[in-house]
Amino acid sequence: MTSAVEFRAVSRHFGATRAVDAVDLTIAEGTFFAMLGPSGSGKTTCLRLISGFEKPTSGQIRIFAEDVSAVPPHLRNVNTVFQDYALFPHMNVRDNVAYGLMVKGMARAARYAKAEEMLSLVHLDSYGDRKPAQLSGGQRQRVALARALVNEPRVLLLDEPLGALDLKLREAMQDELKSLQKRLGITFVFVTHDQSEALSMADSLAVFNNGRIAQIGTPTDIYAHPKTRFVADFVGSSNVLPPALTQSLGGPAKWSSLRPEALHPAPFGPITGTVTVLRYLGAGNRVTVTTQGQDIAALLPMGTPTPDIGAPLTLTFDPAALHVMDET
Amino acid sequence: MQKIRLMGTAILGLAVATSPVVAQITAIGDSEGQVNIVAWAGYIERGESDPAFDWVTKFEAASGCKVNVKTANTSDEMVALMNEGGFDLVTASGDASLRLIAGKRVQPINVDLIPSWSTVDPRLQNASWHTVDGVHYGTPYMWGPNVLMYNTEVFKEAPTSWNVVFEPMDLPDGKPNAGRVQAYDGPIHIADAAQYLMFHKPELKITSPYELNEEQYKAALDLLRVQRTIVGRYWHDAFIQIDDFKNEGVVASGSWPFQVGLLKADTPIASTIPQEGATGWADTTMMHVDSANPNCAYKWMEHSLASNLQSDLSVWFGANPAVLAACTDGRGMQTAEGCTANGLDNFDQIRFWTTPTANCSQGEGACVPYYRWVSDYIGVIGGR
Amino acid sequence: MSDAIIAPRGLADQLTTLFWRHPRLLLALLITPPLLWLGVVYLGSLAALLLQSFYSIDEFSGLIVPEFTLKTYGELLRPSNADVILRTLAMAIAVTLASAVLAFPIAYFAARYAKGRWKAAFYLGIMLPLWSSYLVKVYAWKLILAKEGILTWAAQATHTDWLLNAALSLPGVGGNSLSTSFIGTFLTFTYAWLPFMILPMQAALERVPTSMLEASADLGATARQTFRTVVLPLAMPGIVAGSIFTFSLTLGDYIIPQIIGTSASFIGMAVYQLQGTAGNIPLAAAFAVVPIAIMLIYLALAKRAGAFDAL
Repeated sequence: MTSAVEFRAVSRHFGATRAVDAVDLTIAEGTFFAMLGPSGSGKTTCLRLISGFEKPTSGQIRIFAEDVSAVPPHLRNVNTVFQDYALFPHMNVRDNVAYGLMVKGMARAARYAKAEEMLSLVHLDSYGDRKPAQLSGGQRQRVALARALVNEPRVLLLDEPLGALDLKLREAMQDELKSLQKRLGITFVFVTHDQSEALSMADSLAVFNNGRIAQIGTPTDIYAHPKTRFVADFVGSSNVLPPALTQSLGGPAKWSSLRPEALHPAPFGPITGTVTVLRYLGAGNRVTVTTQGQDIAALLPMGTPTPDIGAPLTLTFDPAALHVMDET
Repeated sequence: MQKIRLMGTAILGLAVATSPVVAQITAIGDSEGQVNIVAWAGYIERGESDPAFDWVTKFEAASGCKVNVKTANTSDEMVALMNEGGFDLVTASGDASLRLIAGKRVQPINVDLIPSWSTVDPRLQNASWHTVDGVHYGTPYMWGPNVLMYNTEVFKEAPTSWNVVFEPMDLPDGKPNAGRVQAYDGPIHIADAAQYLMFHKPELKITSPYELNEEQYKAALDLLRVQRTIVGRYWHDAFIQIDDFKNEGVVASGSWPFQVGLLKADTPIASTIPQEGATGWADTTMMHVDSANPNCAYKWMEHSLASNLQSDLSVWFGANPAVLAACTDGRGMQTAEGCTANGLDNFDQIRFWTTPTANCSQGEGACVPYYRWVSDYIGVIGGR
Repeated sequence: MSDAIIAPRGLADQLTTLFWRHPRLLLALLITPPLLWLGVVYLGSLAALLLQSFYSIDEFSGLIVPEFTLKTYGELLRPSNADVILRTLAMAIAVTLASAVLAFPIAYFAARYAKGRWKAAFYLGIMLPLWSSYLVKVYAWKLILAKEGILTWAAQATHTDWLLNAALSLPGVGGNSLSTSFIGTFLTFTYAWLPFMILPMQAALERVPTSMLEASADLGATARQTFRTVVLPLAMPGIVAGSIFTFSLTLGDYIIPQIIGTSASFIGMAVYQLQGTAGNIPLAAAFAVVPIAIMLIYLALAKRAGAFDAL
């Protein structure tokens, strides 16, 4: 399998700020790749480095093995779905979608036919004559998608495309994006700060922190085996335990993570503390137990008796669930 | 002549014929403490522009009348201010004075109360622009010709004809006059053209440059169209013209003694009144019909004819005094030579400005009225 | 009385309550004075102007005849008057186009690249000329453009006077010197109105998101295509707003053509001369209606061309 995008020691500095700091990255062709991280972690800059809106301070970027350092955005065969969609307000939906073909000089009839095809792909068949202002957020999102796909790019870049949508719509779009990617078979690079979105959609993902990649791997790998405290904390809602506590629970003197769903109430167990927070989640309860100044969350499935706040609670877990990290 | 003049202005108010003598005062009483005058800029100086030119301060001390001046920029503004009221006196030019008389905005004056009346230049005492049916409506203040200003480096000798600014020709320095001459940017310049034709085309039978029938008017416009081809820019602002003579290479133009005086100091400029004569202006101090301060007004009129004031005024403005003694008696700065330079001896060659009206000496509706002068002159300057 | 309600502490609280209950009352209070001003002073004088233009001047006496007639408008079509209108219109178009071309790069720089200090410098640079008297600027231009002025001197010093002479020998727009030619009038107009074009244009460009330009490039457009299909249409409301300023200011001005140029009349000068000594108020009014009519036609055309679609 060839690599669609390859970063070799790429840095992008803005003055003293190292937005991207010596990143090495390989994105395989045909995958759905997510870049996950908090805001300011460098993930969006990486995306813009691929599209060409940013130039690396140092290092080399290759797209399908070709060095694109000297290639301006309009000559790169990658297209972007922008965070704010960036639809042209003075054009109707059809002209927006056909824009990429128009600037290439395709005849009107041909480009409109192609645009309709794209609109049909995103289920907006009869919306060609509308102006972007007349569409809902989800519909605009689809238009932006259709517009980016009309050029048949080899890599599609998506910059937090679902951020502005409400929860239900977001979930629907997640499924749709995923199936679209499967159908088209092109490489999707997806930037998000939402870990559940990244985990559910991506074939593989990179977790960014402070301009560097903290961990790269498959969703299950990253979820189950976070390499650093940061990853454990950011991906999922793991309990991150300091070395002393890890040691007291039978591990080495290193940081470890322990998933809330791995903890169960029991008459006897290694963790005993006071219930300080109780959160009803519908499918169960999430309790926070405080022991030795450390908050530990546990997921209580339906049917488990609900403890009172202030009451003592003892928790147990399968020792295999304790994931020990390399940090001391 | 005065009857005819009256006919000409009849459209402005027939009432004049019935001699609107109001309560004319017969003796000057106590000072009211002030006098309000509408005047042209530079006409009533109290030493603020130049300390040497002050003919107000001493008057105020002697008469007990404080002088308040409202400056007006056009004759229309003067007429409008007088119509509003609240003023005692106005220094009206020939085009405004008859309008004011016809509109009954000014009152006849009792010349017996003005001892200096006898010293007024006899040529002005009964001038038609302030005397109607033998009744005087004001005291003459100052007059001046529209002279031909020229550059003495180009003209070693004074040009003898206005043709240098009317017709394309080579000037004495061998270069054409195109682009180097100017003309006045006001419809009244049509009168200058008519006066030129009076001399050169007697067959047109022009008797007054302000009373033109259709044929005479057309001939004047035709001459001005020729002039358009040699005039780069028309002038209307004295200081712009001064600048044009300094920076634009303009060497000849109709002008006022005022500009000549200012330019003479540091540029080779002189002026002349060519053989065709010149147009000119004459201003009169007139008294408002409802003057609230008649005693002070009379005192000012008497003062305005003092030969030392007239002398300084004529120097300041580069014009001619209404009192001949001002040129010679040495009470002010003016001299006989200065008066000659300002055109004192050319009075008979000068045709003073009056507003052209349809009814003129040629008959009822025989002449082209001023409003047509305005729109046609716009056309001429626009190249039509 | 319970603590749930705070007793009014004075008039301010009572007024606030009143406005809260009747929100339209406050609006009415705020908007009535300016509306009255607009309605009475502005629209009133406009109506008076319109009325005057339907009167005529009696050929014989020169007095105004207050009877409805279209004769005065007919007079506008007389060649000398039509000249004035066409001359003014041509100047307004030329000045507007030149201002737009000159203003665009400046406005674009200010909107896209200038930040902080540079932005302040930009505003200062644009506004500074507006702080000095308009007349002073025009007279200064007269000196710059004079036959023996700075520009001629500079042209001679750089041996480009052949270019200047070529421009001045152009038929129609040339003349004896820049300051006595239409070129000079044009240059001064363009200078005087440029800020009025830059500011709205800059405001419009600032409202075009960067992502819009990136999207265009991302989809394969060259810089030129982006400019033509995205930037220009989106900046169009600003350009139109600026052009309304430059266009109407040129249509109405009577100072600049009086001081710089060939003395040929522009609409403003004609109005000034006709309403003055001539006393031909009807024709002056008819002339004054011309710029209004031209502006209405211009706006209608701009609207039809889609200039306001991106508003």
